[in-house]
Amino acid sequence: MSPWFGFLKKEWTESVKSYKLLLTILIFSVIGILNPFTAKITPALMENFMPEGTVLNLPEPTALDSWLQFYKNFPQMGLFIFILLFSTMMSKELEKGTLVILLTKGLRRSTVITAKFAMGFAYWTLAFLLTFIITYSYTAFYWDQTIVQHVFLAAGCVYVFGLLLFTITLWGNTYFASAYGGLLVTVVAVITLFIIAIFPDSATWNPLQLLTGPPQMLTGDVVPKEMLTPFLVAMGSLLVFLLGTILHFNKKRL
Amino acid sequence: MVMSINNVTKKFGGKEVLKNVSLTIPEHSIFGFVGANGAGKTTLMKCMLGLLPVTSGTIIIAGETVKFGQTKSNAHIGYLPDVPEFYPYYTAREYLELCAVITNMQKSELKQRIEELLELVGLSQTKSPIRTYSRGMKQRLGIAQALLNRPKLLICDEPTSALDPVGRAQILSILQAAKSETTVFFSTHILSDAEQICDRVAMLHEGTIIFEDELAALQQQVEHQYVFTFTISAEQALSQLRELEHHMYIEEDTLIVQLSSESERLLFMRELTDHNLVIQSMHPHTRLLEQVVLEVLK
Repeated sequence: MSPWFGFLKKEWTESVKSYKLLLTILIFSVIGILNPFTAKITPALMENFMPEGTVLNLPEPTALDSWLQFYKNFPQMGLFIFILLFSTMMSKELEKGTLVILLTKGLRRSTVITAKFAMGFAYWTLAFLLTFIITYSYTAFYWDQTIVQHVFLAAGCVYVFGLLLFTITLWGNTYFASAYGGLLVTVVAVITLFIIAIFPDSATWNPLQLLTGPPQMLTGDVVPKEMLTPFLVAMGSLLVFLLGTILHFNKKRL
Repeated sequence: MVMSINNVTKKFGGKEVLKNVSLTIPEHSIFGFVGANGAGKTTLMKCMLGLLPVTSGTIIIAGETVKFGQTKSNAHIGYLPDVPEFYPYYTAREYLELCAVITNMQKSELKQRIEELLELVGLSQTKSPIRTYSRGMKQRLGIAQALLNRPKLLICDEPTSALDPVGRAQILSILQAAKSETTVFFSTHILSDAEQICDRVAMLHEGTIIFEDELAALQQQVEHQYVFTFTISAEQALSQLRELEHHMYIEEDTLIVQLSSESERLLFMRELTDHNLVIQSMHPHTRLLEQVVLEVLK
């Protein structure tokens, strides 16, 4: 086993022992079930809560309602929980000093960052696939999905945005070497993207489009082509932050 | 020379923590690095490991110049931090396996080496995870991981400071045993620890090396002097022995006598019996490291 895989194995063991695997599977399965479920029962709920005699003309829920729930729950609750779970990957080690022994044994500093990034990447993929597959299966079971467009592409946009946010968190976490430092950087980054989004012109390139665009993609109001520039900007920023993390850590005082 | 430090200066802001420090460490020795808390010992060690940049000067370990950050010289080093931190969910064996993988150790060698080291530090029977370990056990695991890849230089930062007497004795004997395969460089502020196992000693005081020599040379015997204690006080004994011609004086309630030959020593003993003086102890007059240090600091 090479040092890189050795360290990755350590990351894996750590995530299992600290219940991150269990939490990820549970939380993202629940979100997956919640999406079609909420869409299905909302009309029934509304009828129950209304005073007797009120006539409500709610339309029957469709596959679109289920997917709109997905875009409400997954990027908000889901991404938020994911970032919280993985926001201390570096700071925990830097605060405790557990890396000192391994680094003074000749472990490459870049190995630490790339292995941690790979582990976060794998977990985010797992989280995304769980929620997506469960939502997709239930929606297909209850409704006709032909009315929604670009199901896979739209979900892929949110996935990429989550990856970018995780990389920013990793950078902040390494730079400030504290749990809150990483979160603060992430919050500031998101706020900045929202401020940029105030200017309508920015919609053509702002990575935030990857988060706000997908629901409109389902109805065909946004065409996939419009997502290309935001996607490229997101991937570019992701690489810059990842490289920045590696370069910073290479010269970090421990 | 396994390591040479050349004119190293380290500043934190405007504060000079290390001032032009030079030091060389010969192979297969135990090098004691003494100094008070805050003298700069840990800072120098961190510079040796590339964990901190030096302001000026160079450090060469096993022919490789130490660079700040990613440095190749670390492949020759085993390091035990003052408070070693491990991953609490691993057992000692699992942790050493991780370390072995990181140092690219051959699979065929790995198992046997880990067994050997666990035996050496007395952790081979422990099956519980590291989170349940006492401080002494962590320190011993720390030495095991430091020795794992047969480093040319073993650097230990205050390995005995936080331990009880039994733990301290264990660590010292492990370090002594390690001397056969590596060079040991350890810092301490406990002088008696350095005295017990070191070949050479250097002292760091306010950022400069104030002495560096072989331990034996430092605490060389004060020639032909012997220290006596009696059942009565040294002053009483001295007053009884006043008429003798030996050079005698009192130091800390012991009588120190100059006895240049064996016959002179025999004669002096006879005198003592004649004066009905009962000896409690007698030993050659040597200087303890502590006295050397105190003299230098005066």
